[in-house]
Amino acid sequence: MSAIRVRFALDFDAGAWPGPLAGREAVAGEAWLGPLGLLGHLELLTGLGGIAVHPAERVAVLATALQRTSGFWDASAEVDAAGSARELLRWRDELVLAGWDGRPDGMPPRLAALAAVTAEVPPGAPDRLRALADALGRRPGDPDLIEEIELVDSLASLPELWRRCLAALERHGAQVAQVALPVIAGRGDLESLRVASGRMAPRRDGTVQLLRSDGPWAAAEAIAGWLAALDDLDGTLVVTPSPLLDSELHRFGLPTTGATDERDGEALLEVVPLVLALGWSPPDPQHAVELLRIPDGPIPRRPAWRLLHALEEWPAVGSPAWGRAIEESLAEIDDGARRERVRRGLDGIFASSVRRTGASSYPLAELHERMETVRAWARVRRAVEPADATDPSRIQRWDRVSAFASAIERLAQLSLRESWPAAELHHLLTEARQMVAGLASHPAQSGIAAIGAPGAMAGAAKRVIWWGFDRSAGRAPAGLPFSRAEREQLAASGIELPDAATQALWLAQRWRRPLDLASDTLLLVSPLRDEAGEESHPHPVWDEVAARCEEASVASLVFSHLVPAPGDRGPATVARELAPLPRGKRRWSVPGRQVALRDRESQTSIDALLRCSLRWALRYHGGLRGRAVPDCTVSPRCLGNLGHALLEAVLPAAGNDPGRGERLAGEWFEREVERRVAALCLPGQEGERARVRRLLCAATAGLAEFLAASGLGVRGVEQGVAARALGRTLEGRLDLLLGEPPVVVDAKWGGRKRRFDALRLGTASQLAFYAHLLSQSQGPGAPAPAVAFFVLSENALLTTAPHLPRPAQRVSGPGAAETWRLLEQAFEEVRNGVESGELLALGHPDGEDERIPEKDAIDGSGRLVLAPDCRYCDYGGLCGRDLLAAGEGA
Amino acid sequence: MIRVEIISASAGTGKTTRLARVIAEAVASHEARPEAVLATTFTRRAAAELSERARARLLADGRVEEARRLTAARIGTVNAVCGALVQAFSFERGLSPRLRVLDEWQADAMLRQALAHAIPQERVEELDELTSRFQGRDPEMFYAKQLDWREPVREIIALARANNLASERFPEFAERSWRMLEGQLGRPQASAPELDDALDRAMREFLTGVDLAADRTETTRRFHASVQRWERQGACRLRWADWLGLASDEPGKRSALLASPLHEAAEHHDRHPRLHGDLQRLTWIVFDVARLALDAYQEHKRRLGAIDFVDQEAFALALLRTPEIRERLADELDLVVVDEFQDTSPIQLAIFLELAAIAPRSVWVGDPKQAIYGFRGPTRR
Repeated sequence: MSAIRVRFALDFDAGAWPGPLAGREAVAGEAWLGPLGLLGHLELLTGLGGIAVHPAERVAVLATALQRTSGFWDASAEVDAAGSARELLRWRDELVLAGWDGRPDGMPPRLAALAAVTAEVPPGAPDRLRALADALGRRPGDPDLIEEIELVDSLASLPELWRRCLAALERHGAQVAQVALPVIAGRGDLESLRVASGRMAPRRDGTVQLLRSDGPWAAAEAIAGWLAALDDLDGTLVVTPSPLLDSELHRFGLPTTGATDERDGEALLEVVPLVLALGWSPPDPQHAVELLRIPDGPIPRRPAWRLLHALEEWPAVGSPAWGRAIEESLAEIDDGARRERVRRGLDGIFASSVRRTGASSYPLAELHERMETVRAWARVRRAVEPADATDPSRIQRWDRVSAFASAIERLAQLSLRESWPAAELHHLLTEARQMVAGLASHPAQSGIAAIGAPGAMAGAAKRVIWWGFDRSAGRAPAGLPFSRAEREQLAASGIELPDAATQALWLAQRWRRPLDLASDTLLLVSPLRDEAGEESHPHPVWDEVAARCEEASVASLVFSHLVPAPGDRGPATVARELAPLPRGKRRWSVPGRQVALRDRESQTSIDALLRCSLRWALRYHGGLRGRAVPDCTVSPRCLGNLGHALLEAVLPAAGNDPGRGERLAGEWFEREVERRVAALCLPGQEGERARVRRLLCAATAGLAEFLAASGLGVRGVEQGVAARALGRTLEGRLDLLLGEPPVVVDAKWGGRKRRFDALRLGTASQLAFYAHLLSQSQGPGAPAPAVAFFVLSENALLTTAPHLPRPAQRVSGPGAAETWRLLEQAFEEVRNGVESGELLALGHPDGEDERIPEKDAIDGSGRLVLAPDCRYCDYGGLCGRDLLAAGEGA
Repeated sequence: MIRVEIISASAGTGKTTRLARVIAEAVASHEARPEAVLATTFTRRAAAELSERARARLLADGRVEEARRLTAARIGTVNAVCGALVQAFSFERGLSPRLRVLDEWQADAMLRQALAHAIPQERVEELDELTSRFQGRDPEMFYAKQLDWREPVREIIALARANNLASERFPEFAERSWRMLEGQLGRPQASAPELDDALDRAMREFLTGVDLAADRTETTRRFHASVQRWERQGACRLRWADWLGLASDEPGKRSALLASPLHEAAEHHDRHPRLHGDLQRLTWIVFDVARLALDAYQEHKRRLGAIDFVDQEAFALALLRTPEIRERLADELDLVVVDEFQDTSPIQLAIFLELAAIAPRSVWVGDPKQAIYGFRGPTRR
């Protein structure tokens, strides 16, 4: 092997500019390398190369050692062994780079302890470099190793260990020389900026621009537009690009840089922590929702859809609705083997077993099983992914998921633990996530060059775009927090750690390179706000630019919109014709009798019809259902459902014994709440849980007390009823039927005042509907039942029936028969409209003439008007109400 | 003796420029090494501007090296500077070295989790029962914040932490709080049943006396419905908000006289022994829960490697009071600059005073109209 020439710089590991090919078509025997690159190359040449250990694995090994060895890290390692290990390894690596041999001799106490505890940790890059330097020192001269090393950074700015290594290479015959960076002739403001003396008066010619767009998207779009208008992209260099910039470059049909972001929030990777989190019992239903909604997630689309709807009914994994959804989903699968596979997959993910208590730990076996489930799924998905040469990231996505799961298992294995408390599990995930390679939003393509740090620029570039020119990227690195005594003792052992001032100076020299090496245009991109919406400020290098300008003239180098430099064309624009959004309206026409009332209608459908016939038609004729977006919080709706289920289960047995009712309600609640409203059982919800339990027990006892006082019994709970009315068969389900004589009770969680007013005004249409159905179903002459609302949270039974004793509260109102009469009239009116093909979106005002009823009422002419329930309607986008709410439509 | 230079400057008088000049001059005169400057501001923007202007001044004077070294200075918001200090000395504080800073929402969620682990279920139920007696009159407000016992718990915790008060002192605060509250109430009457009976009687008399056929006003109808409901429950089971309602709500004018005995009976509620008992118990229990929660919250955050804004300051203060850390910082600090010092909280003031005792020079800039020079030894410029 013949010796090669190397150009070396500390920042070259993240790409180098212009690289060996600069201005040439081919080159041999030359490489531009950073520390890791040169180390790897030399290891290869000397045969010293071992397996590079990922930093996270070193962390895992040291974390285990920290927990078993007492030292100054004890308290920190007790709460975050991995974090402590990471920090201690940083100390160790920097010390080794500064010349430490890793041994405790002559070290201050803390560093002696560090030496002992890190002795068995797999070697990191600095250890490998030390082994290389030692080996080079021992070996006889070998001129074939490296012919020449050109240093871009000053020798003094290199760590001691690199200086030793370079000295050893020199002894082997390599020429080590400092290379001077070229002096570039710029133009306009760019040239003036580089003149050593005097102040400049910027001409605002676009050769130097500090781009302060509103945000990064606007900046990326401006840059892509500008580049797209150029004839030739040669000599274009992006410093520290990002996936966001790539997205815009791609959108404009430009080559992309292949930038990755370690913090990428790709949804598919979230499968891993979610599957782990679902191991805790009870599972957080929100985690289930998130998992079920991940596109291409591990739950097949059809079961996922059913399970989301089950979570809408009961926000809990394992509820009766959940069980039904699983059985129905499985029944839809004809292939027995596939059915079994899906069943196992669902069990593997949703069958939680780790009780969520203060001291509980996540067992290794559970972790292993769940990660295996994830890997198996990712393997299958990767295998069926069509090979698409234009987008290799399709395949990479699945590999990354597998890599994440494997990393968790690998680190778990290295930690030698049997289980993890929640906090430690969180740390484990954080460490494992770092082992997953970043995913580029777009692959790297030739055409636009990119480097990962300004210091990686070592030659002229026509056009330099310094993306991420932000002050947060201009901080000097944190030094090692050693005391004066520790530093003195280190110095006595020949280990000189660079001080903060020296490091800041070296760093500033590297930051200057884009300013010094751009020939035509220098674009410094510092939007006013970052991606998170936080205010951001320009990089410290900008202060040096500003200082070159005459007072108050610096503003002329600041641009809110990008300006083409001399000779450049203006930004490319793409003309698009925008189709107008459909206009919302109140009245909709349907030809013929396409939308007719059905022979069987339910209370819910009739209610929907009277409130908004468009909604009724879309729901019951169109079969349109909105996307399930389950609300997994403790909402009045789910508490109402919980109350219904409780009364159904408990009341028949409790009868008129309040004490028994309260006890049975408490027992039922303890047994069932977890699989009905899981949010009440999650940490932090103890107060709500206690309150809901108390209110439901009190409500059950209250109802039993009423039964005792009235002498009524429970005739039915959640009882179905059907009868002929409104010209068709109507059906409904009574929450509670008491008797004799019959009393129809509708249980609600809250809204006492609203219920009271509904009875008083005669707008309680649901109760009237049920009462009418019940009396009709019992044949001619059957007594009209009394009606009542039972408000669970208030333990209040509100009724218009004068004969019902206390604790029922009497409300003076027209009674159910009168409300039914008005409901019949309202129905006739709507039916006529529907049958003539007119549907009304009652929530859409359609100009200012029409009033939208806000609540149920009897209007001035004695008609029953039911208010449209637009808050919970999925069709607001169709009728146009959503656009109105957003102020966009008319 | 702590020496602090105070610069009086009102808003809009070029404070940042003045501070930047202080830094640049100190650096130029070699009084302060650039990397040994510590400057705190109240906003990130102010920190960026201060750093920019100080560097610009040095660069304009041709002091490029000093300007570049200034990027290693500790210039930031009070929280950022404190946070960096805590991070650097995490092993000394027994904290995770990769601390996650919680925003207010995250901190609140973590407090809830800590409460979950720290407070026994029976205590939660007792609190729920007690607070239900003070529930507002509008049942629609079930989920509103007004009755969430965690609110006062959070408030006590926040106040204690902002003032660096230990949780061991909470029983003492509970006693003092109750005494102050008790002073606002009437002297308790000896017999609870007497007060209950009087109210029950008054409610019955009103319900018997009112003539809804004659007085058909909406006000009377609503008042009647409320009294009917409360009478059904009985005075001994009424919430205190209902007593208050009976004392102050009015029927329509025509029935107003009938309500007078009702008002009279109900307005004695502040002397009700049961109200005194409930409030005393609630006060004590809220402080006790706050005590448990504060300790649990701190431990919970520590275990998760998280700190909130208050921790950043409290931990930084503790570090600044540790002799070894002071010794180390004494080597690293030449100049401390504090912007907007009139807005400092007590704990921040304590931090600045410690820094002033460590660094050779401290300069504080603030608005004299709101100044709080309540400490020893400031010099005034």
